[in-house]
Amino acid sequence: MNTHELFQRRDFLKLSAAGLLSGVSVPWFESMANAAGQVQRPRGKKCILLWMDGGPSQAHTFDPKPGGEFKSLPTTVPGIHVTEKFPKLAQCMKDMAFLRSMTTEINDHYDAKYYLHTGFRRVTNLEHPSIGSIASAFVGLPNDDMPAFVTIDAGNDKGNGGRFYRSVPAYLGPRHAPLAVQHPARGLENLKPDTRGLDRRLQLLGKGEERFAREYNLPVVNAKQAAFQRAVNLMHSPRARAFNLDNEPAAIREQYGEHRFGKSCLLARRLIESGVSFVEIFHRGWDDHEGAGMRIAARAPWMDGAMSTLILDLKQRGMLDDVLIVWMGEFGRTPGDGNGHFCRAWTSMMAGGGINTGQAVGATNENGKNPGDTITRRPITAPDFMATLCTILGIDPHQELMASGGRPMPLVDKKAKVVTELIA
Amino acid sequence: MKHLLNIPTKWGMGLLAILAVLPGLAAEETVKSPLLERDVLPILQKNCMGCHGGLKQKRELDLRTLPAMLKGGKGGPAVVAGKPEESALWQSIAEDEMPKGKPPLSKKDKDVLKDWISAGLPTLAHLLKKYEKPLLPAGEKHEPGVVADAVDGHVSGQMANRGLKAAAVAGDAEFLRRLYLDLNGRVPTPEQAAAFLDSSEPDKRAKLIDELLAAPEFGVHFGRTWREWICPPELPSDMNSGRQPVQQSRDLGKWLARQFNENATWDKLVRDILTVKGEIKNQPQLIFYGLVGQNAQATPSGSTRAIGSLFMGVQLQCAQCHDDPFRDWAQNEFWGLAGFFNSMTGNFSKVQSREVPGEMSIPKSAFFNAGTRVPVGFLHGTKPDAKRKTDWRGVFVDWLTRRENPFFARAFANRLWFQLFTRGIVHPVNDMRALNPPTHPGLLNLLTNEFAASGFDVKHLLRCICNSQTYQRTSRGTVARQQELFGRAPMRVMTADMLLESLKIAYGDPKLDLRTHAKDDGNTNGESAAVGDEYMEFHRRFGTNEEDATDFTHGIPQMLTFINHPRLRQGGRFLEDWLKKNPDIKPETMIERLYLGTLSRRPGTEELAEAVAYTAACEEPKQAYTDVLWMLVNRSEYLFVR
Amino acid sequence: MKPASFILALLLAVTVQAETNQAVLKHVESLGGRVRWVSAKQEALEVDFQFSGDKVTDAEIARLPELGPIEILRLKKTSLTDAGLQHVARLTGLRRLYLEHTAITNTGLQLLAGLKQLEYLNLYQAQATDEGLLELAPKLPTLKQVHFHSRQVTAATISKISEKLPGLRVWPLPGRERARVETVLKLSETNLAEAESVMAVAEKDFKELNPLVKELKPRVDTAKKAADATHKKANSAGKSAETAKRRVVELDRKFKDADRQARAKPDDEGLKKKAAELKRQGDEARSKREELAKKYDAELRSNDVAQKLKRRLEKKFRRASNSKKVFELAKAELEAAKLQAEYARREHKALNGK
Repeated sequence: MNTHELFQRRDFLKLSAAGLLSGVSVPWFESMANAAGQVQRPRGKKCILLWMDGGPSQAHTFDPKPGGEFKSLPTTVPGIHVTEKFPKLAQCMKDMAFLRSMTTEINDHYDAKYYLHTGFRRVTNLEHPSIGSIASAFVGLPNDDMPAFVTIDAGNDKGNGGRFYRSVPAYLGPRHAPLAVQHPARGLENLKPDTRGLDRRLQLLGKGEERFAREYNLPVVNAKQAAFQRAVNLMHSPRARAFNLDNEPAAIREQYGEHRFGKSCLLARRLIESGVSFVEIFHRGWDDHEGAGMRIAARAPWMDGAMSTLILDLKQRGMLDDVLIVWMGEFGRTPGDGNGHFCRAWTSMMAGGGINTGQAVGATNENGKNPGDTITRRPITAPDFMATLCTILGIDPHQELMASGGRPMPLVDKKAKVVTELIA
Repeated sequence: MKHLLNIPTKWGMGLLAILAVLPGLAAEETVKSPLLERDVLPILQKNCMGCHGGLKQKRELDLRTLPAMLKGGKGGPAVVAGKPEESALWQSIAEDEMPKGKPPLSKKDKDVLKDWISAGLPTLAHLLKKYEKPLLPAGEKHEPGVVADAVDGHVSGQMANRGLKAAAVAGDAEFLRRLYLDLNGRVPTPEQAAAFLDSSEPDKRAKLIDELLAAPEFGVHFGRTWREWICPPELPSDMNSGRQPVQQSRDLGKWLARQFNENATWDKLVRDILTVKGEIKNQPQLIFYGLVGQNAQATPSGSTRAIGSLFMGVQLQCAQCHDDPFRDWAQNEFWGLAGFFNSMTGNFSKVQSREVPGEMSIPKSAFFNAGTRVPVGFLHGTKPDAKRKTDWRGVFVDWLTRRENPFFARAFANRLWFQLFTRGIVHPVNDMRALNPPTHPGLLNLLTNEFAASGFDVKHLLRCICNSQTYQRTSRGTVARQQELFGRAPMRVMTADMLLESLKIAYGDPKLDLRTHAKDDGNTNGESAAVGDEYMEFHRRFGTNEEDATDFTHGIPQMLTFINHPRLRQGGRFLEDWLKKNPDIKPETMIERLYLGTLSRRPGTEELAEAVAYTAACEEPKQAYTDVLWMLVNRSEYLFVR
Repeated sequence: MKPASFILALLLAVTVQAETNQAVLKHVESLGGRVRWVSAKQEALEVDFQFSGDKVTDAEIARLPELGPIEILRLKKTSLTDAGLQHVARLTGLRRLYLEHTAITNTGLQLLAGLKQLEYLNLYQAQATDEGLLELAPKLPTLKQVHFHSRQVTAATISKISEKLPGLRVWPLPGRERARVETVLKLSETNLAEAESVMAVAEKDFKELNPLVKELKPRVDTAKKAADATHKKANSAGKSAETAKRRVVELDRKFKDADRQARAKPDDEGLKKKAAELKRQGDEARSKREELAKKYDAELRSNDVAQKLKRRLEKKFRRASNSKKVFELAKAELEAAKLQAEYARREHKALNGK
């Protein structure tokens, strides 16, 4: 019952023809047929992706090792430790799960960012849709006031970390491109109307538009006017107040922290609450080539505060089961001082989302010359991760979509295996 | 057609598009019995061709074409006209013996197959046969007016056959704006618009066509268009994290612009691209091979796919890894073609010949037959008689650009038609094959012949089409079939390039920059940058569905930009200049000018009255006119090529 | 009923159902409400009116049960009153109910006693209080979390509730939070102490060493040069010693040959002489070699000293020239740790203040 707007705007004939010709199963097609009598609205969970751009050191965050630069700290789940820098998150362990056996083959920033956002390796003449756009297409409310996919720039700690990856919807269509918030405190660009005579201007415009629509009653004209209406609705929507953090009580703003990342987390919660399906926050500057220790020691407190507040806040609002929080970068860092890129064995985190939390999936070695450089249990590849993410959000990762030339494209690589430990 | 190359591109739904043609078309034929292309092939493709197609031919049976079906396999002829009970296909389907290992066919599908055989195997191609003959003789070049009349003859003939009437010829304003956008990639300036509308010369349309074909912006627009077909500007580049060098790719557009402006014949232009050698200095077209390759390197397969799609109008990508199950070429043919481009190496800055024995070894990346050695050869099996050791590309181009080559002129004519009418005569434009017949076979033959006879003269072909009534019809009307059969102009969404150039005119600002970012949001050189330069950012924001220009794909961010972007709320410099120069200008005059600079027409009576009333209620004239300008660019009419 | 008519009836039922919920859906959305399925697997709808404001009144939600299996209902800031809760009470599959900022009172609350699946209830800034909850909660076997503003609760009632229903978590509930907040505070203080000690070292380095950078630079260079010189000297001494050693070996071998020949021909004085000469030369070379070996040792030792000095100075120089950066980093770390501790303290204080 994914009322998948991509296909919604195509007529039924084209849709059925696609199903016949491709020779592949078209799940939304069949489920639409079964859905008679049910409310036709998308189903699935929402997601907040906390993207630590540059690659955070697992040894300095969530996979502490004996003799590491940071001491390890017990959490509320016996047997699971984090580093001493995350006391607040340590108290949220029952709502979090670590994936300590990420292994993703690519040590180059941009290609790895692409890989972890799409589940596919980057190729020259084709772009794959990013996870946010996928969620927008499959879980997002069609024709809502609020956009389905928003990205928030949580700022820049340090100038490196390679080029920046921007989510693209690729063949899912431009409606699933993210709405970009450049600064959490500034909200959405171009949202705030120039109020000088706005109503009068819209009125003047409306008269001409009405005549035009009468004269040209074409789908393309209706689509333009509908999109325009959505934008105006958003400008006037009470939901759009979500973009403005000033509407939040001071006490809550303080809990999230004055750091731009904390503000981004707060904005994410407000957006999710008001109907956005996928929020990606990126914080740039985790490429700690001169040693991760002191750098992360300085970053950890605001990250610890904002993330733990986000988890607790969602929990208090009874929303945690419906919202998955993901924390990750494009790879980890070399065990020990965290100087280099390290894709062979690293850690990501998931919280909420109704998954089996309070566990650590996978493990890296404890002993040996370089503890933490080898996976000892349950390797998770980038496609595995993507398939798991999709499944948790309620999107079938094994479905095939149609790219041009009639070539069916799997949403996630067919060989991907879902991390079943996480799924209830 | 953001990607005519291999797979897709953006929201590619090319296949859906083909299928959309057939049902609509055939319905008008009032053919009640099933048709091969429309009804039967989809069933066979879904259920049968996996084992009896290009990939496998179990029991020697191939169901891809009607002749192959008639020939049949070990079980005898698959179909016998009018006799289901003698047709092996029907027998095995009726008994649910086939398809093996799959659920049996539905009653409805079975009925289709049976009825089709009983009706004597009707095909759409056969129905269209009577339209195949062009209205002008082949082998000679004609005057544009003559060709234009023949174009109209074909189109109105097809309309009449379906009991339809073509739409009226567009008024001057509609024609003017469309022609400017199609030939020069922008709307006319207010002065240009007024001059044309006020002219009473009887042949002013033909004159404008000549004028715009001679304007430098003609080449710029076509250069950008082809550059984008080769490689979209917003794909990963050195500005936004990829390896594609932005400046050099833009230089390719400029080089193409020069060729189009000098009216380099299409064969020469293509030869200059395909046989290029040496360093990129002074030959920007050299970047072509890098752009269509992999990881910044030219690859034989990438070159083959791109050349197939851009210059031959065929999709070869499936055959790269296996025999194409739905098209009648094999994997060997793909690699035979790729062999021509195996005799060179190249990247973004250099192309060199290399010594090869005139054959190609199928690489490991292909799923099947890796390691098999295939001699160079053209599509459909012919072999070059040349014997050479290095650089086979010239041999390929000699074959490609011969006047009688079945792909070259046809692919260009069809693509040009697509560019102007949003739909190819064969659609999609890169999928010409027996089972995807043209809607107007005679028209396509006419244009192909004329293009070849003119020595591949691009401007001549454009002049022929633009002078036709078909091109000059109004887009007003709602009968979908009328537009599908080219009896009415389509309503198109402006491409990003058209929109940017037109906004520059509306605002009198050649450097219009719609990026919204603060200084601390990142820099533009790629390092941690969220933003590219204003051209790339505009493309990212206002890119359209280039496979279907009638598909409106903009959403909230695009609309919000139009509604609230501070730059678009500021008004234009020309507004200020005008008000300064003419402090007592009448509102009517000013409003008319604003209409001419945006919608390329004068306001209607109601429109004028509304705008005058609006400005009268405003205290400050400049603000009032800025608001009217805002209203005009926010009109649906503004965003469209109508 | 014949199969055919049964199917027909079923189809009819489905169609009727579809029509009803279409109408309700339309109505909900016209009020500014949003409807979605919360999970791919469960048949669970979320209906969200939190942005509808006063458009949503008691009467507007009367037909909600016809929409489908609603599990989550948000009525925040709507005009709902106690009377409207009778409609809510019909949504027996409800798991989460949001009534914050509404006029719901303790009386109305009791209408919810039939919601046997209810897990979460938000009454933040509603008119109801913990007294009402005390009455309602025992009838709701699955209730796990309830939300109030601190003004709506008293310590006495809350403790009664937690006595009766130990599984129920009521926010704000100081007791529950205390353990977490105290742990966080303790750990934050530890981090702060550590950051302070890192800072102390960094500051000392910065103060003491950073001014020395200029002065250290020539000293490092001198030491480097000296070390290079001693290294060279040691090398060449090593080579001389090696050459001498080879000469000793060579002479020894020659002497052995000569000596063997002399022994084979005892009458040959010439041979004897030659052997004796070679022995003399060998001894001379041996003593030279010892001398050179000693010299080599001495050079090695002085090189060692020079290298150590160089390394020490280099390390000190590095530390001195990095001390500014390290100091900055330590400052950032300390700032962050301070902030963390400060928040923890405030949270702790807020908790204990109640």
